[in-house]
Amino acid sequence: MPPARLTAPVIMLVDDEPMVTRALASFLALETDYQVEEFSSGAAALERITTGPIDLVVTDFLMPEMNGLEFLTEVKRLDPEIPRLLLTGYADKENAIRAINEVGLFQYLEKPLDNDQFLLALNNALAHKGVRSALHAKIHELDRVLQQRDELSARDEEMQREMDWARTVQAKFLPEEIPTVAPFSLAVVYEPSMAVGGDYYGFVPLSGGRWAVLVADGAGHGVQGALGTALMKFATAGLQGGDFGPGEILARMNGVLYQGLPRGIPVAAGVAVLEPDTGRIRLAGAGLPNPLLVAADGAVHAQPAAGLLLGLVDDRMYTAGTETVVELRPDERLLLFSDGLTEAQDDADVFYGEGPLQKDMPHLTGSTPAEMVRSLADRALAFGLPAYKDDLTLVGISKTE
Amino acid sequence: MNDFSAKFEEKDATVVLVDDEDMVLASLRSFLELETDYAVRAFTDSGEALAYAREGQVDLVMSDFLMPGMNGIELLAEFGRHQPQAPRVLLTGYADKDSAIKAINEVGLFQYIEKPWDNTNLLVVVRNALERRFLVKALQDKIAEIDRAEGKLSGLQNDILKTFI
Repeated sequence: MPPARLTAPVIMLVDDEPMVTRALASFLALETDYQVEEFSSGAAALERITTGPIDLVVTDFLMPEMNGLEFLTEVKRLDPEIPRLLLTGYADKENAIRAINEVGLFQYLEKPLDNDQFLLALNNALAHKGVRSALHAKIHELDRVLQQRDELSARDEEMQREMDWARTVQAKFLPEEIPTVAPFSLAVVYEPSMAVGGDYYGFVPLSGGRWAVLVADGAGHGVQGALGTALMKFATAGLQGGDFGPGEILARMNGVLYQGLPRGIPVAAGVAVLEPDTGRIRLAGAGLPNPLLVAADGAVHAQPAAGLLLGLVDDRMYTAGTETVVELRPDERLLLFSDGLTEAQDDADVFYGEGPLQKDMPHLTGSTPAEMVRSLADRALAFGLPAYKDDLTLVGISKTE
Repeated sequence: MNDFSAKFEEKDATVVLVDDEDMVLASLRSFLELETDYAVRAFTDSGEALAYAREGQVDLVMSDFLMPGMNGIELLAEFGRHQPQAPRVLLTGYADKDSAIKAINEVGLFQYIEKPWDNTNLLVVVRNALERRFLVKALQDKIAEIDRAEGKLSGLQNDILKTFI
């Protein structure tokens, strides 16, 4: 069966006897919807081939001037994809056999022609051509797809190299060790995502033996995230030894980030200032999820610390109404975290969310801060992998008597 | 039409011949084996031929029309159910030509060949049928290959989306 076509195949009939082409054309007009064109010489037919597509050529062998074999040789040279059929008298059979090898004849048909055999051979030749041209198209398409794949794969590698670079940069700006701030103990889990999410954490020694614990989450991924981290490190550099509370720390960071960041690229941050003298923890926040206090019975209490994101407006105050003071009991834990924890997504893009997080907490009563943050991080990662998109930073704090 | 890049190897093509007459079968078989490298499987019994069709490789089947029990058209129709990719050729005496013509559409014959057959013509018909069968196979392989490549492409795209956006 010839493949479905939009236009009827064009059949070329060549014979020096018009009676023959006439008869074949009438038969085809009756039996098919093919467009038939008749020619009485090879020369005229060749002229026609150069002007537009032909789907099949049927020619007589014995013709004056140019015989069928010579004609088909030229047809093949002009367009090898046109199937070629040869009509022969019984006496010319040797020539037909020669033609099979020399001009790649599709088939020869002996005269007198059997109409059904003729139509079968014609249809088979057209089907042959159809499959070949479909194959050509597919080979071409495959080349294109393979090329696209190679290009995309090269781009992917390049982006991965950039990511690796960004990850290395980001890691350089993170603290190498966790300070000892008795009577508090601290634990950190930091899981940079494949995408380098721009999380930052740090510890800044303040006046009076106090320490600021910082968690920040810059907008943007990759190189942007890495540069954001570097800028955060810079923003905290001037705070060392200062007599600042958490709100003031955020206000100062906001000033630096507002100057240093392109507009519209905010940073979420949270600060816990540990006061060894009083045993208190002072909290302030700028867009980071509220810190959680995990009570001895596993109940979870969010600690309000919700200020405006850093870097959006100049001269922002973070003190009045935003600072929270926590007096941690020995069997309680405080948790600071970036939204990488609550926004861990599964394959269906469902967020891990704070609900399940709070449900997970009671299982962690009695655990050390290190056990708590590790366990929570593992749950989020298990939930979110392999679509894990964001950095994950968790800081757990406890206090001995 | 013999200069195509997807040209098949003759030795990879299995041709099944069915004729109840030993003499005819033997002459067809030895002719094909002499002239080509096709793997030829010959059967005098249509039941055995069909048993082979259920399990073996068939790239073309050629059957006589007049046979005891099942005739050639019925046999080729049944063959088509087991080996739809294999073109079917019918050998007919002149008297059975009308049946052969009917079968072209009903059974989907590739071609019928009248007895006594012309060896060269038979060779051309067999060659064309096999070429078609392997062209279609090459086409299917390419389509499958494209599907696989497209799959990899969208996999890569998903990786990039997940990692970077």
